[in-house]
Amino acid sequence: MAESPTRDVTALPETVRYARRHMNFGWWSLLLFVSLGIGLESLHGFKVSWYLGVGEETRRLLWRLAHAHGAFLGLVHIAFAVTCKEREGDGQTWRTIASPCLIGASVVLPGGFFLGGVNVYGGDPGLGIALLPLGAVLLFIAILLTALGKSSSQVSTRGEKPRDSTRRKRGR
Amino acid sequence: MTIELIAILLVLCLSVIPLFTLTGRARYAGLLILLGGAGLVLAFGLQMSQVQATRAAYESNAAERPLEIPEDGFISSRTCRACHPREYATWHASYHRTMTQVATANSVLGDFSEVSLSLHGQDVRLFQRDGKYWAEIQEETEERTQVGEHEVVMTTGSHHMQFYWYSSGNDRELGKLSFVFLLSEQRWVPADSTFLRPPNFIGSTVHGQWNLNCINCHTTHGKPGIGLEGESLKRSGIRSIETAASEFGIACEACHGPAEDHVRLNKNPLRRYALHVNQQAEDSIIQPEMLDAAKAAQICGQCHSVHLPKTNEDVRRMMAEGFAFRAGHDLLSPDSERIVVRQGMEDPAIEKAVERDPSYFATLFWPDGMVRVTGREYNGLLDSPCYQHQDAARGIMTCMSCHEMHPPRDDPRSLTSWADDQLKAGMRGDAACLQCHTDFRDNEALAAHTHHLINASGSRCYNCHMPHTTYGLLKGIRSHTVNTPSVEESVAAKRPNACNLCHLDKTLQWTAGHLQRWYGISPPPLTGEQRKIAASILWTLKGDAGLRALMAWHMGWRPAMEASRADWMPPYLGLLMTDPYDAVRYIAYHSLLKHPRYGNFKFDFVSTEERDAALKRVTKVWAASQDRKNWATGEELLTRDDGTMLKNVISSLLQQRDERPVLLNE
Repeated sequence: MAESPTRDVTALPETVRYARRHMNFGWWSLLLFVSLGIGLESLHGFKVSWYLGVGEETRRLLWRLAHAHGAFLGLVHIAFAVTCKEREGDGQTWRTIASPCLIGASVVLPGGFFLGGVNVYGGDPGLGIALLPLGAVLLFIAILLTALGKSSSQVSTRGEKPRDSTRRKRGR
Repeated sequence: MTIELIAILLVLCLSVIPLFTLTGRARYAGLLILLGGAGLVLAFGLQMSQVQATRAAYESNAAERPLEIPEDGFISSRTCRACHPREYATWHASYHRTMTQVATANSVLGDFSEVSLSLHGQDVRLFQRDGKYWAEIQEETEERTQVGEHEVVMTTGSHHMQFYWYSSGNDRELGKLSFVFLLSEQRWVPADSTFLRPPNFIGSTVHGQWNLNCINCHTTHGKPGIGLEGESLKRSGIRSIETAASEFGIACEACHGPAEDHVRLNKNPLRRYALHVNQQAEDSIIQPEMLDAAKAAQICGQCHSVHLPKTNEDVRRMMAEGFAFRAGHDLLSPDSERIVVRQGMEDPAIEKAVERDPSYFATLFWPDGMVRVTGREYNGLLDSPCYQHQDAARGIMTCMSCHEMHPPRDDPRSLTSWADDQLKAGMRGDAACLQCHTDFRDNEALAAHTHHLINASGSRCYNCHMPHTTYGLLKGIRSHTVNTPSVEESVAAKRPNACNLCHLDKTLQWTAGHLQRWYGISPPPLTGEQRKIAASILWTLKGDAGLRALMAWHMGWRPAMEASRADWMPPYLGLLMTDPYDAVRYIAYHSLLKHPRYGNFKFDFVSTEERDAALKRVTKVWAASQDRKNWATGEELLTRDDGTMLKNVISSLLQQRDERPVLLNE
């Protein structure tokens, strides 16, 4: 029996691996939060009182924020993947930190909003909202590093040879 | 609505633009995007201008009316909303909120589309101009008659009727429109017709009633600003009537007290979450349910009571600064600025009130001291044994035993349904009393106590112990003094007893006999009429206007109609529709509409012309009914066996009618 061919992901260039990871994460994230959006619309459609009832403004707001942040961050992941591919030749430092930060923020931010809306205290969200500062910091770091990485890449591509270890490896 | 539709169409148009790009006509797509975007901006602008117009109407007449300024530690419901959305939303649905409103398109319920009215020879024209509401009023001075245009700036009420106030031209002083918009009939009627007042009674048209009186209970932290002592006056330095309130309507801080400190403290999220997580009680604000029964009830009692300022100094201070009472204070304290008036009390303030108006007590109380007008429920509570015992172990009745200001999440009723009387869910029935009187949760015990079938209206606690002997808002309202029915109360205090308010076809003798057999209550001496003629008919024919109003209402009350075989009632309702009191005619007419064959009956209770004709029409329909032979007859109903009425007896009783003027100060 012939051995089925397996793909060694680690053998792929690092930029491609990052791009693939974020592209996958982004689309699955979009699927998840679009589903949440459909769920929220259904709650509206069926006039579910614990979502639409008098005084449930806080829950509605937080779950809408969870949906919006989740879906938006899904798009950011796709953009991040495109950015990774586009900047195949630049250094990897920014990517290795920005990538986990972005993934962490994409879980913590919508998750914090969602959990904050499960059990509300009047106008105050539930304790899940405490995750938000962490998520905000992670997202900030991810975007900052990506922006800085992009800037340095623009500078480097003007006059210097790109410093890409994967390319160097391939050359050997 | 139109703007919304335009916006939706524009969005739909924009959504087809990508099709142009597919067909290679991209340049049209750009143009369309531009046009669509401009359209959307225009639609948004129009929508915002409408919102602005409403806001502008709200602010534009501020110079001519009392102001809404949160001060003295009050911060208004707008601040409470952010943290207490549910409480805000439930309050927002209540009639407490809409008790006082600035006259805008959102608040005005009356018809101001060129309406001409006339009362006591005075013509009034109501109209709209520039988004505002106006009253053109014929005013008579000593020299001549002139017509004055006044902007209607404020409204009172939104549940049963709506009153209107116009700027008098004297600072922030308001004048009262002499007509009221009656919501049940969707028509204008004279304001005096909506109260139980003698015929041709002309209510005070003196300007400033709102500033002086209404403001105290119809706003939150109202300050009349009348008099030199007024703080507001001192600040302005020029105005003589600088009326202001922290909030129009009865808002959060009327019951929870000024909230400035509470808000300041809770800006700290750590404090808030410490309270949430530890489920600690918040002590920076008054929470009525955390107070003892007496103080909790006094929060309602600050307005829902018969009260008088104690001294002239208190009067002067109130004219300037309004009520000093705040939630959590002791309304009955010797230091209180006001006295809650009760029969038999000796107090200089009461003596002065009686000196000014010898009928003071009669306008508010039954002869035995039970309050008889609505809006004074705290007096009823004070006189109820369920409150008086003050034994916490047994449970002390308070307003919150049956009512709630914020229905819970699981309340199945709509907010509109709840807002009608703000009762807790299930409190229309026996549940209210069974909270403490647990013995009667057992059906057999209940039936043994009531001597009625379990499901009969006679087995409902309220019907016997809180009958509709209070009058107000053109209807009978449940007494809030919990008492035991007796014939004695009907004879001595001339107040209808609960039994005869349901068994309208029975005599006092009949009731006395049952009460003696069932409960051992000794019957009082009765006259021949009281022994032979149904009590309701005696009250209808011989009673004063207050009694007639209650009889008219009960003849349309479903449980009484069912218990008394309603078929004999229309002629008596027809008779009450000829009553000299407008309010009695209104109530009689609305009760008649509930009877078979009269559902479409037309009658103008204000008109002076059609009363006798209406009686004839009512009698004609009644006499022509085919199934008349099956109807209730008998001497107690003043009808012969063949269904004809004993007109001579009726005329004789009518001649004995208590014609003393009745004025009930609801």
